[in-house]
Order: sequence, then structure tokens, then C-alpha cells
Amino acid sequence: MKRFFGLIILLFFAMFVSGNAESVRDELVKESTIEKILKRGYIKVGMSTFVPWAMQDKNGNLIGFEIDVAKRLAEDMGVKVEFVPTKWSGIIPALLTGKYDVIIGGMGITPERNKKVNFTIPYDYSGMSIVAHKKKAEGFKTLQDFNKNDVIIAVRIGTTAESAAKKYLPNAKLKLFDDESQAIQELLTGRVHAVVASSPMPAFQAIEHSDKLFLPFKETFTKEPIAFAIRKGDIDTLNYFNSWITIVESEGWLKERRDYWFNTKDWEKLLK
Amino acid sequence: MLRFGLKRIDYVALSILLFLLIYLIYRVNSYVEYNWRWHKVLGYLINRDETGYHFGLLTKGLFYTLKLSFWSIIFSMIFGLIAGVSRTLKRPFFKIGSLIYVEINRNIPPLVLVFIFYFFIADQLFVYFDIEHILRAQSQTVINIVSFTFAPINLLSSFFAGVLTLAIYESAYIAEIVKAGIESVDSGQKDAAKALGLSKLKILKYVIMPQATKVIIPPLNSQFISTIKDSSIVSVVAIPELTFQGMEMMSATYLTYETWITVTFFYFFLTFLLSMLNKKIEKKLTANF
Repeated sequence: MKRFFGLIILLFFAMFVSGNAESVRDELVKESTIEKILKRGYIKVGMSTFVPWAMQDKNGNLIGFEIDVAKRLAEDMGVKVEFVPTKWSGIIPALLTGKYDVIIGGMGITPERNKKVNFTIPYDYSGMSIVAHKKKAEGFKTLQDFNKNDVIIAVRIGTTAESAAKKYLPNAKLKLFDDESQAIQELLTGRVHAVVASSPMPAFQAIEHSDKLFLPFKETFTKEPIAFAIRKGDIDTLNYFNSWITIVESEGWLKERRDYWFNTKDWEKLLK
Repeated sequence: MLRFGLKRIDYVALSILLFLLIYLIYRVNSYVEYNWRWHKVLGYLINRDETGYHFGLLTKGLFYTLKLSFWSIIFSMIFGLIAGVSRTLKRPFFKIGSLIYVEINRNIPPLVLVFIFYFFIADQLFVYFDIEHILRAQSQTVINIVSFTFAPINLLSSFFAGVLTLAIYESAYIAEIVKAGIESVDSGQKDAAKALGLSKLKILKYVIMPQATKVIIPPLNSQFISTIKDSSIVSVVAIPELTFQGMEMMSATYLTYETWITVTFFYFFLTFLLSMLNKKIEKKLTANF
């Protein structure tokens, strides 16, 4: 009899625990960002200007690879998209304080960033390349040529370009800028030897200012996975985005968009 | 028309200035070897396509700066007037409270204030009152009116963060201006009003303020111009006003000099216009006394 009672108590307890687990899971789903987005009917996307990933055309409309990705994502979810332009240096804090649901802004996965946010699977790979000043960096042909004490490199602050420059060019001096255009301007006036930035920007600059700038070597010297960043611990949302990336990648849509933005310059007419 | 009455020394000074300007342009052209592409700027001011004319990125930034400055000035006037009058009261609550308010705001860099407001205060307020949600549920006309008078709904929280920061920052200075104005009124005036049996509020309204206004208005005008200029600091939190849009344009086009010369001209245009307007108002208001 005692044993029977014990069993009943145990059963009761088990039911309670499992029921509790179920409600916790329900609770988690309800709290997930995806559910909230679907409920309110729009997704807020954090981004920062990075040519040609995301930029404003002359009318102030957002264009770029990331913008296409975010728009397609919203379309597939059946919601509207709202972009929240943010300064790059504050893009993760603003995500954490809930200014937007997701960062789709060409953010490279790094262990350091991963401590603060969760990343989806990569939807793009980017690499660092270098564009140099013709006179100041005359005869520089390899990455090692730039790794000298008297060489100054301009990069955008807080980007993976900064960490790549620190890692691969430890001897060179770094000059940090808030925007890539400022770094390029510094290079054009000849105050720095080179600019390190995500490909294809350096190549485009070398073409644009062929009288002053050149590409010391064609290849990129890093390979970085680019992913969406979301707030931590939201498995439902993470899974949704991962599945979406898998679908559009296998469709070939991502590759087609990459070709348009990174291998052609057809989009430049939108800026003029 | 204004008569300048130039003397020989003025001509010398002017020609030196002119020479320096020409030299600067020459330096930029020859040393920096800058490729001027002014024609590209036009599209960022106004452009047309199949659907008609559109305001460009920079022009939109100018409008945003106008709206931002307008609301900041309104709110800074309200806060500044309250704090300034409180400063002259005898009750310790008002006196010390307003002193703390003024000193805190005057001694924090506006840039730091922007960050505090953007990341903590404005957001908490917005979430607490759920303003965004309430607004989105309204009809399209209401949404359009809000977008026109303030900002598009998705930018509303950052807009108010910017307005609040500027208003609070500028109001500290306005409070000091108001206080100085009130104190400039001879104490005999107050005593006389008291002797006539006027209430405290009536003394302030009919005796002190009309006289103080004369002293307050000129420095207040320059504070308004400051507000327009200071509004550029909110660009650090990506509020799409003139400076931020200038940076966006520079990122997209690499037209560094053209962009900033245009932005400079826009700011000058705004502040100069306000300054002229203020002079007229000043004359009218002070003429009555």
C-alpha cells in the first residue's frame, strides 16, 4: 500500500514536471522574436552603411545586397520590413536593447561577437583585400610588404577589417575611421599607405581612382562567414532564419544577388 | 540699406582674407589633386524620374534638421522657462531642484547626453507607454500626420530621443538666460507691485516678465541658433538629419568635399535665415517698451 502511494505521488510529480516543461516550451515559443514579428506584422532590421552591402541612393531609399536579403526574408515571412540605420560601433548594443529584431548588415562571425549575440549559418562569405596608394606604396606586392613599422593602414573602426589588419599586419600602424569613405579619403590624400576593407570595395576604388590607387594583389587574404545576428537564446528564431538561408541558397537566389552587387557595377547608376 | 563705412584698415583685412581663401582653394586643387564632381551633388538635392520630381537625400536631411530643431526649441523653451523661474524662487525645493537640473545638464557633454538618452531613457519611456504600438493601430491619416510633423513611426523613438536630449541640454542655458533676465528687473518694481497687493503670479506675469523679456530675447535668439547647430550631434545615433545624411552621401559617393561644402551651406542658410528673422521679431517686441 505504501509503495502504491509512493508510485502515485511519483506519477503525479512526473506529470507536474512534464506539464511544466511543456508550458515552458510554449512560453519560449510565444516569447520568440519570430512569433512577435508575425504577430505585429513587420520585422525591424538593423543595418549600417557599407557600400555595396547597404547604402542610400540619392532619394534616400536603401539599396544593396543586405537590403535585398532582408526584403526577400520579410516577403517570405509575409510581413513588412523596416530598416533601422545604425552606427556600426553601436550596432550590437542597439540589438541587445531591442531597437530591432535582427542585424542583417554584413556582420562577420567572430568568437568575440558571438559572446554577445547568436549567429545564424552564413549566407555570404567575404574576405579582406587591400587597396594601396600608387606613390606611397610603390612596389608593394605582397601582404608582407605592408607589415612594416613605417607603414600606416586605414580601416573602419570595429569591423573585421580592423581585426584582420591587426592579425596579419601586426607591425603596421593602424588609423581608425568611423566610415570607409573617410578611410578612402585619407588614402587619396596620401596620408596612409593602404586601406584594408571587405572585398569588393578595394577593387572598386582602385578602378575609380586608377590614377592614384592600385591593387597590390588580386586575392583576398581572409575568408569570413557573414551571418544574421540575433539576441541570445532564441532557438525558434535561429532555426527559422537558418532554414530560410538554406532555402534561398539552394535556390541559387543568393548567388544571383551576390553576382549583381559584387561582380557588376550596374547599381552605380542609382547613385548618380 | 546698411552703410558699412569701410576704412583703409578694413580693406587691408578684407584683401588678406580674400587672398587666404584663394590660396586655400588653390592648395586643395593642386596639392590634394581633388577631382571635383559637383554635377553629382545635384541628384542628392532634387531629381526627377518617371513619377516626377523627388527631394534628394540631403534635402530630406535638411527637412529633418528643421523638424528636429523646431521641436527642440519648443521644448527647451518650456523646460528652460520653468527651470529659470524656479531658480529665482525662494522655496528650497524649486531653488535647489532647478540648480541641480541646470548644473547637471551644463556639465555633461551633449554627446554623452545623446547616448544616455538614446540607449536608456527614451527607449524605456517608449516601451513603458507603448507609444509605437498605439500609433501603429491608428488610421493612415493619423500616421501620415505624425510622420509629417515628427518622424516616420519606425524612427519615432530615435527622433524623440534626439529632441529630448537637445531640449534638455539647451534648456539649461535658457534657464540661466531667463534667470538673468528676471534678476535684471529692479527689485523696487517687485516691492511696488507687492505694495499694490498683487499676487505672486500676477507680479511675475504683469510686472517682472514684460520687463525681463527685453533682456531675455537677444541671448535667447542666439541660443536658438545654437540649437540648430547642436542638432548635428544627434547624427551619432543615426538620426537621419543633415549631418548624418551627409555622411551617408559621402559613404555612397566618396564626394567628400562637395558633400561637406553643401552641408555647410545648408546649415549657414538655416541659421542665417533664423538670425534675420529673430532680428525682426526682436525689434517688434522691444519697440513696445
